Amino acid sequence: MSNWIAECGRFFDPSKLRAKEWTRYEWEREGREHAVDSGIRTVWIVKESLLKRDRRTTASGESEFWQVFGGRRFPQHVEILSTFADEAHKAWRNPKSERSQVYRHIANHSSFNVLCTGTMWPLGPKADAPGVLQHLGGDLNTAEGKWKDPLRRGFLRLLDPKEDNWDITAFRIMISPFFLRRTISSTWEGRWIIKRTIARPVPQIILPYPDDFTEMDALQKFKRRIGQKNRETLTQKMDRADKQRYYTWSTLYADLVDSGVDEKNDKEVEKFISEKLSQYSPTGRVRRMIAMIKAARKHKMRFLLVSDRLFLIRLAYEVFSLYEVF
Amino acid sequence: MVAGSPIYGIQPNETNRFDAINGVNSGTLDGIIMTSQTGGCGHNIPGAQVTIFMGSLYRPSEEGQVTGLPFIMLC
Repeated sequence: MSNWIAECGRFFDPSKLRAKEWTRYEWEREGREHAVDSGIRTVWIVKESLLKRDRRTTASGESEFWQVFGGRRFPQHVEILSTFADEAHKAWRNPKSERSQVYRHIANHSSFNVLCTGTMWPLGPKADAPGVLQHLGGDLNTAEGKWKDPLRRGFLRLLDPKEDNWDITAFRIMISPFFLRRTISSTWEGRWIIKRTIARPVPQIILPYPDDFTEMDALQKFKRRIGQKNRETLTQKMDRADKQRYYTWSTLYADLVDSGVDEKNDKEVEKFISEKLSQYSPTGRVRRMIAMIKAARKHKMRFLLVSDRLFLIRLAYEVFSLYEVF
Repeated sequence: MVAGSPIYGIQPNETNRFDAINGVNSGTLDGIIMTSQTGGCGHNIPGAQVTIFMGSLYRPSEEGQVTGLPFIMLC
């Protein structure tokens, strides 16, 4: 939240525009101040978690956000010039969710809506388009949204799940008036939009130091321990791949599985890693990671160590203190 | 440490997150351990010169989004 406010501060003219986190208190205070027009307009930054209708803690049973924006009369008191929603590819996947419904209620009363994402169409345009379009301009099935009728009917025909009308070229042409895509190769008036000096470099793949076991060993080990089912769901496949990956980072993981520690209990896992890690030789991956961090520090470079799995994050944290990387 | 869950008692609140990010940007910290999910949250960390991935992420699109710095991928 404060990140957004800080970023707005970099680009807004403070005599004209400011950014604030939305709270009921600030909203009402602003309303009183606005009566004595200061000339400064406010961009309200709303936490996603506030997009709820119900909250048991309030006397009315409604969330504070819904108390302000939920009523049908709110457009008579409040003018929303525009809405900007980040991470649109994730947030609006499920139109039945409460936050989706609250967002659409607000967006329906806004003059101009923008959905932002760095990961456009993660499941493909055909799968993601209905949700994205619905949150952008309202329901395609009714004429109450912002869609003009020929375009609305065109989208409905194109996206009809019962008919095989999908045509990616037609879809691209139809969304082109309101689809703005910026990549590192984008230019504006002959200039790069993203400076060449900060353009994304090519990644370098670093192999681990050799181990006395191979990944195939790890795979076989876990196939025997866990048992690979003939038919696996994607989640089960990912789970099996994760277990193999954890093992290749530290053989401690095999004993963690055997020990009966509940892997979903974060504290138990942390306790196990803290107490046992020193008993295991560091794997090639861990040794390579330590070497890379030390090299970065030697060259006075600061680093980010990233994983999408909490077990590996916890392991790295313990490795740093155990091997005195700093 | 920047994550969406408590790790070793470090709470995933905004204060801790910004202390870590500001620490790297200002040079008082050498680095951050973070989840890829928080990496995709729009934080600006120009103070870091190297990003090390502990293996590839499952979704290439997410990986593409969180890699805005010179980075090294550890397989």
